[in-house]
Formats: sequence, C-alpha cells, structure tokens
Amino acid sequence: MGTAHGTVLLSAERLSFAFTPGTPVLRDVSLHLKGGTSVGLLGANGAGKTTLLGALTGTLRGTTGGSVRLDVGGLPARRAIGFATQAIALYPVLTVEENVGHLARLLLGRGEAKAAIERTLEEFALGPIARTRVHHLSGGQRRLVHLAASFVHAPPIRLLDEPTVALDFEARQLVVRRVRAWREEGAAVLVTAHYPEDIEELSTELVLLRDGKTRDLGALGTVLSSQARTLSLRGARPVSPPADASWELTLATSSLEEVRSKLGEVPSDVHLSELRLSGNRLRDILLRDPSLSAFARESEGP
Amino acid sequence: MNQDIASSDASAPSGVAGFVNVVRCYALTEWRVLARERTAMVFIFILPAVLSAILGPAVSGLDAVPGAMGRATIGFAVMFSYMVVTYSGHAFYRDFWYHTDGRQALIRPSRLAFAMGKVLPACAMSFVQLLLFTGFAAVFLGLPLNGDVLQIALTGAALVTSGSALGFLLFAITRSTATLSNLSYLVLVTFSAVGGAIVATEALPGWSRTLGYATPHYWALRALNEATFGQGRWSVVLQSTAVILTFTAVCATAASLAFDFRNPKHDTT
Repeated sequence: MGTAHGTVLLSAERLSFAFTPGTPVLRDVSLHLKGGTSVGLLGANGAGKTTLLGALTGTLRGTTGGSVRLDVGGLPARRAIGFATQAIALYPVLTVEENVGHLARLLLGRGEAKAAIERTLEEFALGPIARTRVHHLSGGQRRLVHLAASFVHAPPIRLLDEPTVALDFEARQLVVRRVRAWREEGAAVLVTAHYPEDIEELSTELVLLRDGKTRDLGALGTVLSSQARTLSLRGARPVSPPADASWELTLATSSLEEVRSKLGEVPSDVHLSELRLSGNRLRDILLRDPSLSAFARESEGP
Repeated sequence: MNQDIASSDASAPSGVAGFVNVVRCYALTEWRVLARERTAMVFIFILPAVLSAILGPAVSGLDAVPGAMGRATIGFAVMFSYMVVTYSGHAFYRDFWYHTDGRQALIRPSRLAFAMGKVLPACAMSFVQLLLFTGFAAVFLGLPLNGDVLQIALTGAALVTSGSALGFLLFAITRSTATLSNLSYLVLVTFSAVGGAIVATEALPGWSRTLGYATPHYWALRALNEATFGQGRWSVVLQSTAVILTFTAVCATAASLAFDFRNPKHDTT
C-alpha cells in the first residue's frame, strides 16, 4: 500500500451536510484518518454515521460545507478510497469472481486485475465459491464478497459501514483479521458497527457522532481504561424480598484489589451476612473487564 | 466542499485506453446480466417473431402488395427493437436495484464511457434482431432488396442508438423503474403506431401521419422501405438516418445534462 503509519491520509474539517437545505444531518464534523489506524465511529441509530461516510466520499447529493482532503500520493479518490457500503452491492446473476473482476478491471485495468482478483479471493477465503453466482450464496457469504469487491484495488483508505452484519463467528473473525492486516500494511480504516463489541475488535481509535457533530474520544485503550470493571455476585436463591429465582448484585470497581472495600458498600437491602445465615450460597462471582458497550450506552444517550 | 483529488493515476488506464476500458467493463457486465436474465431475449427476438406469424400482413394494410408479409415482419422488428429503450433504462437502474450505485458515484467514470458501456449490449441485441428479421423476410417472405445491405445496417444502427439515448434520458429524468418502464412502453406503442411500424403509414389518418414525422420509427421505415421496396437511393437513406441521429443527439444531450451519479432513485430503498 506504501503509506506511512501515522500519516493523515484523509482529513475532514468542519464538514456539514444536508439532504434538504435547512435540515442538516452533519453540522460540524472534523475527522482525521491516519495510516495504520482504525477509527471506530460510534453513534446511535439515525445519528448520521452512514451519511458521514457518504459525505466523506462525495457520493451523496445534498448541500455540503467544509472540506475533505486526501493526502495519498496523487491517487485519485476512486483509487484511494474503498467504500464497503452497508447494503450489499453485488450483481446477483454474476459469479463471485465476475463481481470482483468487474471492479478490478474498472479500477486497475486488465493488466493488474488478474493478480488483484486472485489475491483478494484468497484473502477473503472465497476461492471455493469463486465460480458460484451470488444469488446462490448465503447472506454472510455475500457480505464477504461485497467486502472483497469493495477493496480489490487495495486502497489506502478503507471505509466500512456495518461490515459484520449477517456474519457468523468464523466470517466475523476473518473480517477482524483483514482489518488488522490492512492496518499493519498502513491503511487508514473507518468502521461503523451496530454492536460496540465489533467496534472494540475492529478499531484502535474512537470517534463519537452525536447531534451531527463528532467528538474525538482518542485511543480505544484509553477509553476502556477509564471504564470501571464490574463485579457480579449471583446467588442460588432469592433474598428478601424474594422476587426471582436468583439474585444478582453488581458493583463497579476498577480493580480486584478494590473488591473487598467495595463489598462494604453493598446496598442496605442486601446483606451478605444474612445470605450466609439463611443458607443461601453464592453461585458464581463474575468480574467483567471494561467494555465499550456500557460506554456506548452512556455516550449515545437516548 | 473542497475535495482534493489529484489527476494523475499511474497504474490505471487513462486517455483513450481508459475510456475503452470503462466501456468494455460495463458492457461485459451488462451483457452477462442480460444473457442470464433472458427476458430481453424474449422481448427483442421472440415476441416480434410470434406477432409477425400471428398478425402478419393483416395489420400492414398492404395485402395486395407483393412481399407484404416481409413488410409486416420488418414493422414488428422495428417496433420491438425499441425495447432497447426499456433495457437501456434498466441497465442504469440495475445499479439501484443491486445497490452498486454508490460505487459508480465514488468511481465516477467518464459519463460517456459509462453510458456507452451500459447500453451497448441491449443496443447490439436490438441491432442483430433487426438484421436477422430483415434477412429472414428477404429470404423466406419475398421481401425485395433493391438497395444495399449496408443501408439496412446503417438505418438499424441509427434506430437502436436513438432508442438507447431515449432510454438514458428516461432513466435520468425518472425516479423509479416502474415509471421508466411505463414511459418506455408508451413510447414503444405510440411511436410504432404513428411511425408506421404496425400499420403502414399510407393507411394511417392524416393527423397520425403528421405525428409520425416526429418519431425515429417513421424515418427508419422510410429508409428501410427505400432499401427494400424502393430504389435503394442513398440520399433517402442518409436523410432519414440524419433525422434519427438528430433525435439521438437531442436525447443524449438532455440525458447527460440531467444525469448525475449521485442522483437518488426510489428503487434504492
């Protein structure tokens, strides 16, 4: 790919976008995609994540403001950017190879296309179904073909809108591995996903989109370390007042060492000593590492 | 919005080679789709054959004229060659059915090359149909050939090109496949009727004949009649094709003005 890690390949400054004048979807978006990093875009449904990807690629018709700049060694946008849209973009009556080949020949010319097709089919493990027509494939297989076709030209900037939809565990892991490999090769990746767990696996940086504005949250590790660990105690029988067949007590804590002291803050309606005295027994203790889910719930709001 | 896009692209084909590459890529994909979906084959080849056999010279109004059956066959061939309007429009809408429209908007190939590649397969099918039906009529149905085969080929090429340009225009100004299809069938029937493809122009009422002058069908049939029943004069054929090509240029210009890769269509959802 030939791009330096840490170099800003795409920068958007004060980007705004409205499908109809006067009702902006994006108001003041600033975003920088660096080589070797993967930015996870968080945002509630309808926050404008897909619109942002469309505005960055210039593929939407509407009123735009601000700027989008590419620094990709003179490559035109069509070669510099690969965009895997949320909707699967494939011709159903064409085979996998023909779909990937159409874009390879279009973007690279016949000379380079053959090698690019072979490489891409191998990367996405599509060799065995290369000659199968797309309408015969499962939803997950189609998603993989869609990703393969979108990035067959090995662009330095890769945008992925909900890339893990309909994927089974194995295919999802394949996508995670591919995104990490692209990052190591120096590509700049921007990814959106329905589930924070996916963002957590696919991203190194986080950006929150809310009310049409972006907020740079920084590195994923930093965000996660700011979150508390969660300690869950689960009993076999209900305690007073008996409500369910089991009970669960959740405490927020940042480390195992704090567990003891935190236990002293148990709400007054649950008494561990009472549990012991009443013959209840602790079924399991679960300490959860910080995750993006809780953070996303808090950040995205209602 | 300021989007810095450098103009140089060392590895991809550029200039004429790039143009040809874009045409070839889209044409190959469209050809594969048309060939595998088969409905275009039925409408362009089978339907006119069936109608020619069923209705024959009865609709031509020229029962007493030798070669009338051949004349009727050509009429139906001209009529259904204009299915190219529908299939050209569908070629563009296809990207919205299959969500590949976003890719075109990002890649933004040369609009002319893109449009040519998209319509070329449907154009070629309609052109081959016209030649096959004319050949069949000449060999088996007593259609005279007083002119040159080249005159028929030139007329056929001009006619299907005008249909493709009209299909492109209808795509550019409509928002859904249903609207495009309805309009293109309306065009198919009315142009064929007033242009003399169903009933010979001589048998049409005056007002209908006047309307016919505005259709490529009238001029195509005029040229084809000259090459077959007529004296084979090139002046008549060239005049007719010039009118058809003017129609084509108007449609193509209007289409290219209205067309934008980013235009949304209802079929997207």
